[in-house]
Amino acid sequence: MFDLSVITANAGLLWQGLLVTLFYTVATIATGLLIGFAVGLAQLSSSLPLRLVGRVYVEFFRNIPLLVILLWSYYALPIFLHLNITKAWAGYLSLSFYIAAFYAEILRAGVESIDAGQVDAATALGMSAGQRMQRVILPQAIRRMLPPLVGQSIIQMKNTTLLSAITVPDLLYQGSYISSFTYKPMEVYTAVAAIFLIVLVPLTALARRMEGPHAHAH
Amino acid sequence: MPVETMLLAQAGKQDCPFLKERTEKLFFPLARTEITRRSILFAAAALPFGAQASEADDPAAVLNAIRASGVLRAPVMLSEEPGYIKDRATGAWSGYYTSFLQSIADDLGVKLQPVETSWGNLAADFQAHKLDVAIGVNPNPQRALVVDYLSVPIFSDAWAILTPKGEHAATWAELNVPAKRITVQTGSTMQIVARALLPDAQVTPVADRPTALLELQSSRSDAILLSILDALDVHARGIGDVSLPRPILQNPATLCVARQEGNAGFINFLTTWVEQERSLGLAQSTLAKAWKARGIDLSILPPDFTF
Repeated sequence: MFDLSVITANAGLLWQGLLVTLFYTVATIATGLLIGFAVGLAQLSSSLPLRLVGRVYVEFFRNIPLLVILLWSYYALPIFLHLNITKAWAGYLSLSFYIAAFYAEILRAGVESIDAGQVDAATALGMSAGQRMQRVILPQAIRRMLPPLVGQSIIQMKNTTLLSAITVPDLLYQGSYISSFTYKPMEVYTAVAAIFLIVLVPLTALARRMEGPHAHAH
Repeated sequence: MPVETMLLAQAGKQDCPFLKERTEKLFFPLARTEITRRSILFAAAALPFGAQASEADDPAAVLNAIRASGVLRAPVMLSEEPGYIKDRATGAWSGYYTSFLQSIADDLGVKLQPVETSWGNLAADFQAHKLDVAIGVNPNPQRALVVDYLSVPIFSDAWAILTPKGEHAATWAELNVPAKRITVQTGSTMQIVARALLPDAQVTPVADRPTALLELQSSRSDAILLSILDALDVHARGIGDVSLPRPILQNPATLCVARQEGNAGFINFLTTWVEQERSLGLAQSTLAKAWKARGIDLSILPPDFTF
């Protein structure tokens, strides 16, 4: 019943799809971390306008479904702003901006979870705001932030499958493509699921190991 | 360093020619040609009102812009074989619809630029100025609110039914009962046909043809509504049986263009192209070649049926 030859005969296409998926995962996580770090710090800033900008960014991108952001950036930007971006750009920017909102929240929550007494103690030692953040708060906060950051990044890899909606040739797109000429969608989607498992299970195991010592320390 | 350069550098660093090529293609699919087209449109938009009016009044404005740009942008899509076929190795597009589009591009003296999309996103593609012309579309008043259709079809096929092996449907009436579960594709004319002909049946729209086949193979559907050419193509791969329910419903496949001022000349050109294709038998010959290449058996059609 399960025709494995469909997968072996089209392994090249699945491999190409996997490379595109990994490329978007890595590129958008890297960009998302940069934006998310900036937005997270803006949310923690003492300046009200900056905090507001950070908050608006997070609420905007966190509350609109990614597929809508994707379709909107690909189709609505050319209509409203005459900005005819390619599907690759639409996909890269949408995924980056979207995950940045979640990273920003992880950073904010991580920093805010550090006991306020430590800030007072650092201030009493004569540290500036920058020094407090750099030497006292961030080293501890980053340890707490790592597990949710890894978790969010795993979700991001799965989110890249939405790129197929605008025909970026990711793993799911190649799956649909192979299904379209072999008429064996069951085999193909099972293979796509297996590939995601093979890539992501080691990463989730890593995330659990990171969680371990953190859980014991507190 | 601009982000796009960074991304390309990243792709290059990984020493993966495929990824690099793919990234370049994705980020710069049209390169210079699209910029030329956009510059023309932007220049037109930037003109003072009087000049813009005369530009818009020019019925050949769109035709001239396409020729100046050097490319004809037309949609192609997966899951639409034998109309659109993506080459497994090279990714190049063929199929009878692509052949028709190539012929149009040749007559215009421009290069065909396939723009990959789906039926569901087609109207958005036109509104976002990503396409010049689409072929194989069935006239649909809802879509006609945003695109202009040609008044003549390039050919007409018929609506058919794909059922599990051994089952058949002689008439539409026998499918129009509450117990029958019919699958159609979203954003397609099949939805309208199903709504009109099978109001009593349970009609389920799905994203694409492979999903429709999954519905059929997992016994969640009793029949898939497809054009006869598509149904026979699936059947030729050993899946299901094809019925041509009576009365036979012809399904005109025509062309549509972006709704914009100055497109009258382009529509006129395309109409002339269609008339020539039909009168000289070119359309029939393109279709016949496609059937032969795919091993499609048309004996299910009545002898007096013409495309």
